[in-house]
Amino acid sequence: MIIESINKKEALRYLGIKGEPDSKTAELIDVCEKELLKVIEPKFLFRKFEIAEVPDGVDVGNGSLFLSGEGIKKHLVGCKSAVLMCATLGQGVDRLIRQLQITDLAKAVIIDALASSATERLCDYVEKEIRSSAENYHLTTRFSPGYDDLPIAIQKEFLSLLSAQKKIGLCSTDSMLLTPRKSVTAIIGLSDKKTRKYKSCDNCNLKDTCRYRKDNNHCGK
Amino acid sequence: MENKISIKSLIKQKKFLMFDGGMGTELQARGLKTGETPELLNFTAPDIIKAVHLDYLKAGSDIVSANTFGANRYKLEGCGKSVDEVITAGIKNAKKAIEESGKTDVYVAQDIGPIGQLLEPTGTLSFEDAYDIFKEQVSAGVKAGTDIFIIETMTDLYELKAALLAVKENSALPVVCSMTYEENRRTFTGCPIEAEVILCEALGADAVGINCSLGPKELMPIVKELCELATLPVIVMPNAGLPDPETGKFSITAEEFAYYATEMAQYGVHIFGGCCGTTPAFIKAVSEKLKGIDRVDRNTKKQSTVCSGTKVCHIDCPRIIGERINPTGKKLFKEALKNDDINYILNQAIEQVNAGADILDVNVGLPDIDEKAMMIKVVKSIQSVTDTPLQIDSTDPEVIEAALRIYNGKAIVNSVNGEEESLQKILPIVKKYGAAVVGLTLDNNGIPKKAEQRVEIAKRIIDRAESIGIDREDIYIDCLTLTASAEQEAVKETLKAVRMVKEQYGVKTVLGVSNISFGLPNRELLNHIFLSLALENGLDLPIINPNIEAMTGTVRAFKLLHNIDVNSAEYIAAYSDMAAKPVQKAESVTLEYAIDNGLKAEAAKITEQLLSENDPMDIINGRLIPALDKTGSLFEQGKIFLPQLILSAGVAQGCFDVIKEKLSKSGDTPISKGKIVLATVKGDIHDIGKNIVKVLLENYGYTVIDLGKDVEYQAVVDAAIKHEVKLVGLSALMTTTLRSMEETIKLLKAALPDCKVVVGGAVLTPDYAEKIGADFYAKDAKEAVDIAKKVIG
Repeated sequence: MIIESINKKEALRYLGIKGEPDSKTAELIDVCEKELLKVIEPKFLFRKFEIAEVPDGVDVGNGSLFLSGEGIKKHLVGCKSAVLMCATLGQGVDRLIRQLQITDLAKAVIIDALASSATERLCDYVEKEIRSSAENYHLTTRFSPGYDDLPIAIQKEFLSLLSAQKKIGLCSTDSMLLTPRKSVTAIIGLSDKKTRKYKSCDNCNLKDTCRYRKDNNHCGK
Repeated sequence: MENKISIKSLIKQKKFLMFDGGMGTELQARGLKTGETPELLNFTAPDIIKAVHLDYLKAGSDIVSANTFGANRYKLEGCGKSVDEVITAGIKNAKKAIEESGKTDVYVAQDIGPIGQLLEPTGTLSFEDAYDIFKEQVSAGVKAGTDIFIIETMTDLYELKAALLAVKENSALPVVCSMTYEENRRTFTGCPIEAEVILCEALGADAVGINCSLGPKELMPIVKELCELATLPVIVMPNAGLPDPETGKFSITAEEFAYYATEMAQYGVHIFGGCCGTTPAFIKAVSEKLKGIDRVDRNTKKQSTVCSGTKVCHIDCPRIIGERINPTGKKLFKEALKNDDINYILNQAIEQVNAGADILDVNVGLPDIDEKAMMIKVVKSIQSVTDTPLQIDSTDPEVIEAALRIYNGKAIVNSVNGEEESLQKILPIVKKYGAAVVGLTLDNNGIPKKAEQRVEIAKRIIDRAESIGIDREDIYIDCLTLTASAEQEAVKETLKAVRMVKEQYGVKTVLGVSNISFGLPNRELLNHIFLSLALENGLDLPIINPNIEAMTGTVRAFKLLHNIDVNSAEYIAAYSDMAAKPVQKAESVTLEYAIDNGLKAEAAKITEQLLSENDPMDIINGRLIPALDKTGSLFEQGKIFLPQLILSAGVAQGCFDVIKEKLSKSGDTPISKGKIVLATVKGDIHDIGKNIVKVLLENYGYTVIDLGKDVEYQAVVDAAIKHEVKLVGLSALMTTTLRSMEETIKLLKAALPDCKVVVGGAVLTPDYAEKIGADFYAKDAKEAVDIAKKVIG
C-alpha cells in the first residue's frame, strides 16, 4: 500500500480548522480516515521526455506536446529533460463522497479534505520514485497544468500522451477537470545543476482569494 | 445487411477464431511517434497500416481489426478529419490487405475503444451523448462495409452498454465485446466480469471477453471464471506479459503466450487474439499450437441474475426488493417529486440498502409530473450513490423503456400481466434490453379467485415471453397478495399458487407482501408471518419495507433455518452487536446539547417528545433556530469550524424531518419560508460547498430546489421560472468554470430581471462577483443564510 496513513494536519488546514480540533471532530476525522483508506486505489504513471525551450514555451518529446507560457519556461530553465507524471486515488473515493453527501455531509466534507491530502502524499511518493530513477539529476518542484500561465486546456493531450486512461483510468472532462476527482497531473524538470525554487505566491492564480495568505501563511512546504 | 456472418457458425466451421495482435506495437516498431493520433495513419501511411494487417493475416488471423480504435468525435477533435472519413479509410485499408492476402474467408472488424472521457457519475459525459458518439462510429462503419464490430478495452459497463446498444440499433452485424480487468478482477470502475457477461447476454452480443492490462498468465483465474459464467462464445486477447517498468518492454515470448492460449482453450475459450506488445509472431504461435488441440464446448447454464454497473445479484435464494421508492399514499414523497427533491428519494434508497434490500423498486408515477423525465433523473441519481440493482416500476411502456435504456446494468421490469395489451407492449421492451420481468397473474377479468386459474395466466405469460426469446430464468411470476381483511379465504390460494408456478414451471416468484394486512391492526405481525409462509411456499423475491426489522429479520431467519446462510454468517453479522448497544437515554440531554454535539438520534427523539406537548412552530422558533443561530455565530467567530457547523446542521435537519413527518400526518402543509434554486454551474463537478449551503438554508426553513452539479445555463433559468423563486444561488470552484457562472447569470437576468443571484466558491471574490453580475457574494454557508433572510425574509 502506497498510502498507509494521511497527513491530518494538512487536511485540517483544508477544513479551515485552526489549532487542534475538539475531541469530537478529531474522533470523526479518525473514523473518516479509516473509511477513506479502505476505498482508495492509488495508481500513478510517469515518463521522461527530452525537452527544448522554444519561443512561446517548452517543447516536450520533440513535438509530442507543447507547453505554452512564461511560467513553465522559467520553471524548466536549465532542464534538458522533464518527467510528466499523473496520479489518482481512483473512482472509489468519488463514489464514497457522493454517498456521504446524501447520508452524512460532515463526513463527506472531512473525507474530501483527507482525500486531497492523500493525493498530495501520493504525488510525494511518485516524486520519490522519479528521484530514484533519475539519480544523476536535480529535480524541480511539481508544476501542473493551470499553474501560472500554463493552460489547463492541455490536460487532454497530456493524459493522452501518457495513455493515462488505459493505464490508470484517468481522464479529463470538457472543462478540463480531472476525473476521478482526486487526481493530479504535473511536470517535473530534470537538470544537471541545482534547480532554483520557482514556487511562490506571486505567480499563483489563487493569490487574491487564498485563505492561507490572509493569515500570513502559505501552502506547500 | 444480408449475408450476415455469424460468430457461432464461424467458430463451428473453423474450430477456433483468431483475431490479430497489437496494432500500436507494430506501428511503434515502424516508427510512429507517441502523441500522434494513430488513426490518422490511415491517410498518412496507408501502406504501413496495410502491411501490418497483411502480416497478421499471414500469421493466421481470421479477423483483422481496422485502425479505428480511437476514431470517435472526442478523440479526433481538431485533427482535421471527420469520424466518417477516418473509419472509411481504416476499413478500406483492412479490406485492401485482405484482398492482397488472397484469402477468402477472413473478415474485417471495426475496432471501437473507449471514448476517452469518463461517463457520469464520475465523469460528466452523459449516457445519451456517449450513445450518440458511438452511433456516429457504427453508422460510418456499416457504410464503409465492416463485417464485424469489436468493442474492446472498456472499463465502464455503462460505456460498454452505450456502445453495444449503438451497434445493435444501427446495424445487423455481429458484435464482440471485451473489457479490461485489473489484478483484483475488477475494472477501474469496479465492474466484475460477471456483470459484463450479464450485460452482453442481455443486449445480445455475439461473444464476450477480456483484453489488455495483464499477460495471459495473470489472466488465467479470470478467464476461468469467465468461462464458467458465459453462455456466449468467449474471447481473450491478453498483453504480451507485463511491461518492464524501466524499458516498457513486455515480458513473455510468443511460445509462452501460445502455451497459455492452449490452457485457456481447455477452459472453453473459442476466440483468441493479442493486445499490447503482441506481434504477428504471437498470433502465428497461437494458431499453430491450437491446430493440435480440440475445441472444448462449454455447456454453461444461464442463471437468474440482475446487476448494476458494479454489483451482481443472484436470484438463487430469497432476495429482498425494497418497496419504499413509491409515492403511493406518501405525502412527503409526493411533495419531494413535485419539488424535484431528488435527495429525499436518494435517502430512501440508501436507507433501504443499509437495512438489507438486495434490489430497489423504483416507482415515480404521479399524475401531475412528467413521469418519464423524472424516472430517468431518479434512476441516474440512484445509480450514482448505490450499486444495488433496480426494479423499474411503471405502467407506461415509454417510461419503462426510457429507464431500461439509461440503467447501468440489467434491471427487472415491474410489470407485465396476462392482458393482451400489456403482453404486446411490455414484453418486446423487456426482450430488447434483456431485462428480467415480473408477470402479474391477472388479466382483463381481474385476479382469479383460485390458484389454478392464476397458474394458468402465469403459463400464458411464460409462453408469450418465451416465444419472443425471453429466457425462463428472466421471468418472475407474482401470484398477487389479496387483503386478508377483505378476502380471507384468498390467502391460502396465493400461497398455493406460488408453490404451483414454482414447481410446474421452474420460474422465480415475486410477491408484494404488505398488502395482506391492510385494514387490520398490528400489521407488522401479519406481514411477517405471511412473509414466512410465502417463503416456505417458494417465494424468491419478497417486495417489502426493509426498514421494518421484523420483515428483513424474517428473511434472514429463513435463510439461516434453511441452511442457505451458511454458518449463519449473514445473520450473525446483522445481529451480533444487538445486545451490546446501550439503551439511549434521551432525557439526559437537551435539544441544544444534542445539536451542539452532533447527536442525531437523540435530537430526533427529543423532538418527538417535544411534539407531543408543544406546537411545532414553537419548537422551531423557540428551540431549533436559536440553537442554530448560536452555532452560526460561533462559526463566524472562528470558535467552531466547518465540520462542527455541518454536524449541527445535520442534527437540526433530522429534527425538521421529524416535525415535517408529523405535520404531513396531521394534514398540515409543511412550513416553508420560500423557495431558493441552487446549482453548481455547468462544467463544474465540485458540489460539496453547494450542499453545505443547502443544508443550512433548509435549517432556516427555506425550500431548496437543488439542481445538482454541472447544470446547464438554461436549466437554472427554467427552474427559477417554474418555481417562481426570488433567489438563485450559484457555486463554482474552478477558475475555468467562472465563465459558466457569468453566462448563467446573464441568461437569468434577461429572463427574470427581479430574481436575485448569490454566488460563492473558492475562487470567487466580492469584486469578481459584482463584475459578473451577481447581486451578492457569500463567503460561506452562514453568510448565504443571512442573504436569504435579506432577500426573502
